[in-house]
Amino acid sequence: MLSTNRRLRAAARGTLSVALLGLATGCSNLLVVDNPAAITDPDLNNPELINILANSVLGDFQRSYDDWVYFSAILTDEAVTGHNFETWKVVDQRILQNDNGTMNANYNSIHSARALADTTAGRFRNLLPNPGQDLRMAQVLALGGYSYIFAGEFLCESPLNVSAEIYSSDELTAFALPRLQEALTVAQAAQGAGASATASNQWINLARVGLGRAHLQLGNRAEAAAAVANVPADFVFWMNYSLPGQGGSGTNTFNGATTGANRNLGVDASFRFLNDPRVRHTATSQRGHNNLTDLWTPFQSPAFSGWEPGSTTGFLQDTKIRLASGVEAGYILAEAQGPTAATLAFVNSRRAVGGQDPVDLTGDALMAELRDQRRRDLYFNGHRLGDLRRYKAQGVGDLFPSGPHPNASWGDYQTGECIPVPLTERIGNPNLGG
Amino acid sequence: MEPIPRRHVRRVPGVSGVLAMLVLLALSGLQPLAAQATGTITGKVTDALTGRPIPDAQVSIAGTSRGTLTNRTGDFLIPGVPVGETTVRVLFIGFSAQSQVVNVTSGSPARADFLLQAATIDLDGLVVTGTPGATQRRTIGNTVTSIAAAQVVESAPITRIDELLQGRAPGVTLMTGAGTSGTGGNIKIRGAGSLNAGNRPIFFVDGVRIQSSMGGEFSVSGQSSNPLDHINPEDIESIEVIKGPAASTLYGAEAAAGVIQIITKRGTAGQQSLQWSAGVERGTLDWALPQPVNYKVCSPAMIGNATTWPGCQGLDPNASPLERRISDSPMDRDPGAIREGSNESYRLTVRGGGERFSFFGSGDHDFERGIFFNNFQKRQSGRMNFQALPLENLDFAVSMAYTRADLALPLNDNASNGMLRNAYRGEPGRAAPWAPGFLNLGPAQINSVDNRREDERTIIGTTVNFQPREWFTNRLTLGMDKLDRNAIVFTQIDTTGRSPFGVTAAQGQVSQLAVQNHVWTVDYAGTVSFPINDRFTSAFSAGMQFNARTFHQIQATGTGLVSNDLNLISAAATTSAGETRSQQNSLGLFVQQQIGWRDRLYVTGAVRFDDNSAFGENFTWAAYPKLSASYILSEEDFFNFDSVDELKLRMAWGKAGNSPAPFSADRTLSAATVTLDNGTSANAITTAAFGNPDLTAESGQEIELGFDAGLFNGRMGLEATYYNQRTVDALVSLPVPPSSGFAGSQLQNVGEISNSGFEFGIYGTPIATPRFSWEARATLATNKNEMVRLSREPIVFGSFQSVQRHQDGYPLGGYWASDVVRDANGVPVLDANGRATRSADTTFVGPSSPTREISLTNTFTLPGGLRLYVFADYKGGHYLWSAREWWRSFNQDISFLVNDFEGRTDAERAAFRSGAPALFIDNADFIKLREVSLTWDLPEVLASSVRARNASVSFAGRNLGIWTKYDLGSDPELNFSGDADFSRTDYMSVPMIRQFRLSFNVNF
Repeated sequence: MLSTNRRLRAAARGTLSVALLGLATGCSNLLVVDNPAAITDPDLNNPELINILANSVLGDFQRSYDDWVYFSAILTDEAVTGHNFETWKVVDQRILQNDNGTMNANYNSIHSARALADTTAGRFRNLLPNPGQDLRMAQVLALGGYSYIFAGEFLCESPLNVSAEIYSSDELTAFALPRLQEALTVAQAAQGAGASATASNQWINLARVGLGRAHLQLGNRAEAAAAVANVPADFVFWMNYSLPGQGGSGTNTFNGATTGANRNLGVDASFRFLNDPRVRHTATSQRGHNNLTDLWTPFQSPAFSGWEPGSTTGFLQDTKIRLASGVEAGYILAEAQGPTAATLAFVNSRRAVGGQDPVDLTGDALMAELRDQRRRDLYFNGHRLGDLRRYKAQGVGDLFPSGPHPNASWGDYQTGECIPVPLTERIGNPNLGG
Repeated sequence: MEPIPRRHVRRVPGVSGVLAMLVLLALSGLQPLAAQATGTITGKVTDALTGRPIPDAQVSIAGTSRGTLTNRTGDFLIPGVPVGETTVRVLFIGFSAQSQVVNVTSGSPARADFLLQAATIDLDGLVVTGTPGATQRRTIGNTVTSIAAAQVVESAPITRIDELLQGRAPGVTLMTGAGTSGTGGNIKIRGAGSLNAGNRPIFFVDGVRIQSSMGGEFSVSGQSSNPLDHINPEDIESIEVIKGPAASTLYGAEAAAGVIQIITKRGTAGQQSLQWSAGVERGTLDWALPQPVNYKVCSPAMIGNATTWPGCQGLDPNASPLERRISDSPMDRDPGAIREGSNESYRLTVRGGGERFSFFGSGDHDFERGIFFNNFQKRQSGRMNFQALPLENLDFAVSMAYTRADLALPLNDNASNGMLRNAYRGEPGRAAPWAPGFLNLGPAQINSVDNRREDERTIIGTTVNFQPREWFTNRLTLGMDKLDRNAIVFTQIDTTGRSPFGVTAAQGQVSQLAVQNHVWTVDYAGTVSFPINDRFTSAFSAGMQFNARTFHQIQATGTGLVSNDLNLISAAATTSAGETRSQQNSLGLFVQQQIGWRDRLYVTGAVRFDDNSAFGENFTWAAYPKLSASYILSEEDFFNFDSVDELKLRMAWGKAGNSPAPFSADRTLSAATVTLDNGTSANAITTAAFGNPDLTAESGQEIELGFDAGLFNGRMGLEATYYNQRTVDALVSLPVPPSSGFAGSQLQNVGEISNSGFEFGIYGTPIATPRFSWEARATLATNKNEMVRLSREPIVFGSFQSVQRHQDGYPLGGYWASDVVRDANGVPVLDANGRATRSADTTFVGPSSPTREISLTNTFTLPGGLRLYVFADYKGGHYLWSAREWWRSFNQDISFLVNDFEGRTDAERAAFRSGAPALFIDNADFIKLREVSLTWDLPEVLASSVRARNASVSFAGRNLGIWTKYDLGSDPELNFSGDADFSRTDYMSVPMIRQFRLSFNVNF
């Protein structure tokens, strides 16, 4: 009996062990789970997804663009913040440290838009039947180019694609040029191949203004002037936003920033009471989210789709924001050409829009007036940061806000003017060496 | 190639073959019941120390499921016992088990009286370890803390599991985030061993894995609901805390943070009668701690501006700042802000059993109205536990619990529209937009916030124990925790014309979340145990556990309502919807071999293998070994110390894991949408997660040494444990380099974390007489937590200011801050404008989690049927960041710190005004008087007049006092991210709320 029990016990132990081993090898399917919220990169190499991929590049850009415009306004002299969060407060003070998550969100989104455009362009070279004359290719290239423009204007320097090399602002801007040039070529070829003239011209002119903007930033005046020479004065390219619950690219961030208890955007002193329909705001101030900053809440400027010269309109959730325009092309051309008669004529045409009398200026005074008109026409249009950095780099002067901040308890403005390489990049990029 | 002759092929049994063998082996052992003559056993169970009878002790016939519970006088009767010699066994928590052999005849009842000795360390007590059946404490090499929940609930004002766990198990740290009704705190065991895989232990109810935390609710900007509140503490018999990797190895890749086993009440087979219990309770809640006062010095400019500063009018602009200082405490002043809360509770339980079955059933209704008008918590629950013994060697148990819980939470903590933020940041004297003294919205608007969760939860499980041979036991547990939630946030149509919650919500808005959170458990374990010879025994166990967890959430929002009564989402002008899913499956297998020597030395070795769907594709099975030893030294002949009744030495070493979150390993893109020029929306994708294909679980490794001693004839017990724990391959969230085009973070197994400390438990009965006794229980625990290796630059984080860090060589989440520039005497240096300057140097201030904890529980049994219960605890060695006073000083000038003209110098006030964070991080040591109750057991004559076995009336208080070194707020236990592991901030959270309760309980 004892030996029988012993055999049975040994059998039981062996059976238990073998059964469990069998389970281990036979039940791997138990660990297969679904993630219906995501797809993997290889799944994107599918011709049926071409339109979605093209939309993805547009969507990534649109979702970020309003935030870039807002950031440019806060960091420069366009706006003051009434935000409760310390991370916005320091941006307004021009204290730009590499661990500021609010600021770094712009670094992240610029790279996201840029990288998605580049990878999609690469994918399209294989997926599209005729990538050299397909407007979807032009769209991806043009928006990729603009992403590099914002990288150059916003970032002090940056690696690309986890590179060891860190590129300067100018180098980042220069990366925009081949993309925009190819976008222009592809859009023109598409038009030649029968694509809609209206659609083609939108991408053609967007690429032209982008080329002009990038060349101007790099100091290539002749190239800038050449790039925008043929842009129609009435050209406008909008970034679109949606009402809540309607999907799309989300709501325009300027709506939330100027309404409700959490409103936080106010017109900076240097733009207040200009008596110019292009820069308008509430007559009196009100405190916002931080209960500290006096906020003169802005109304829509010409950079927003609801702007009307004769009336004041607040920012709506689906208000569009201008990315490029014939007006901007005019400014690029004028700045590139210098204080010429054409520039004077252009300046006076813009003064007329602002309800100002014509001037008769020359030389530096004319260029200063050109800059003043530019800041009004491109108010809240995402240009001010690039402009101030360009003015400083090209010897015009340092026009960043300085001296005491309007909130006395915050002390003086500091000296930040671009987004440094974030701590996250320093830590996460193995090629940077910490 | 020549074919292999068939006779040489050995077939390895497949899974089906192996299972068939198991079934055959099992079936061969089925033992049907047999009819025979029976008799009755009666007796009495008494406390040997005090001489008092012990009610509700479990009396059973050894080797069977027959038994009963003693009544109020300690008497018992077991009918239907087969005639002949039989062993009667008595169990009662806190006492040594006793057995007697009696001779049962079919004539007069056999008698067995028991004098139970208090068992301060209870070596023969049974605990749940992961192997089949319960395991005797004497055999295990690690400490397992048991909380006698049924006894605690009887004495203390307990309505939630958090309250049961708090301070009652050394090494378990439970920090309450806020006093808001229905919110949970943070639970850790033996410190934080993980940065990113969570430090919350895993919970089981009767062997079924349950969710102890979950998402799926609309944020109230700080606290979140606590799913453990769904479990009625009255249903719990005991809670066992399995503390670290050395003890939790058999639970595998998700157990490194510890395991908490909740064991619910059962009936007793053979009881032959029903025992009914009913209780009713009423109580109050109130905000007893002081509220901060807002100050403002009216400047001459303010005095001259009656429109903006009406409250400054009439002051002399030339007077001193002190004379121009005004103050306000708007929440204190405005009766519409908060209220006195209340609670009511009704309970009914029934226990019983027949010849071969037993059951326990309960139902309860609890309703707590918090101190905010829009804060309430309601729980209606029922439980039925049923056990049956169809065969002598086969029993099964089925338990089912259903809970319906409604919870409404107010906005607080970091909510812009929260009551506390608007009250504590109001500027005295200033014209307020909505209500005097409040920053922005006033009580009428804030209290209109309607943010609710309606939960339905079913926990169902069945356990089958089968013993086909005396030496072969098997246990199979199948279970499911099904938690379904409907969360709602509703904003009524604005009638003020001022859109207090924004222009969108002003149109009327309703959002709902439909959430399904399900967990399935399959758990099998078998043990083959037998004596090897006269001295040695062997127990070989093997088992598998499979857990599957799914989370599915559908969100819908409707904006633009016709009227507040037509508030279906479909009735709104615009609607939107979203969906979230996640799934995580885990499979674990273990084998364990235990060798016993003379029933006093046990050596156990085990290894567990785990795979998990969250592991990366480049990683498969994780292995977790363990080794432990237990030695009952006091049973050796050479051990001869009169004052030491029992002494057990123990040692354990082991590993356990901590798995990453679902889908952490995958590089993915997710769906998005884009707005086209015509305003329509179109499909798009966007980058989502960078992923890590090499991802695996963290590995926690721990060595634990200790002893348990029973002293002075059962008057005192002592447990002492030293643990040293190291987490390797710790999941560190390394930022994805944004230049990759992806953002966010990526988990990598690169970190190393250590925790070490001592735990002591001292239990005793210093005074024991039949009329008066004093039982005391003290626990002490220390924890030294250190980030050994982070493999990256320090992770700096914090709310409002970056005051916390994970940094090599320092505690996780420790506080780091800069002071102001000071002169050689430590006095702040002021500039020409009278301003202090923040120093550029940031230094370590101290840990953010307690490093030492002490709890003290006293139960006094008084003459006249009175019992007094007092529970206090201490937490210390840590600090707390008061973002609230920082903000009020730095940004608003309304804190007393910057307006104390009599107690502080100009330099000191200027230092606070500078906002130097170090000045706002303070020692957070505290002692809290958590629970006091006075219970009167009604005289038997009164109880029997209503045909009750006994009845009692209890008056209890909770959160009755606090003593603290923390000067920056009233309660240093607060955290505005209530259940966060590391982020600790005192901002706008509700401090502990005082409660009083009067209850009446009766047992039939």
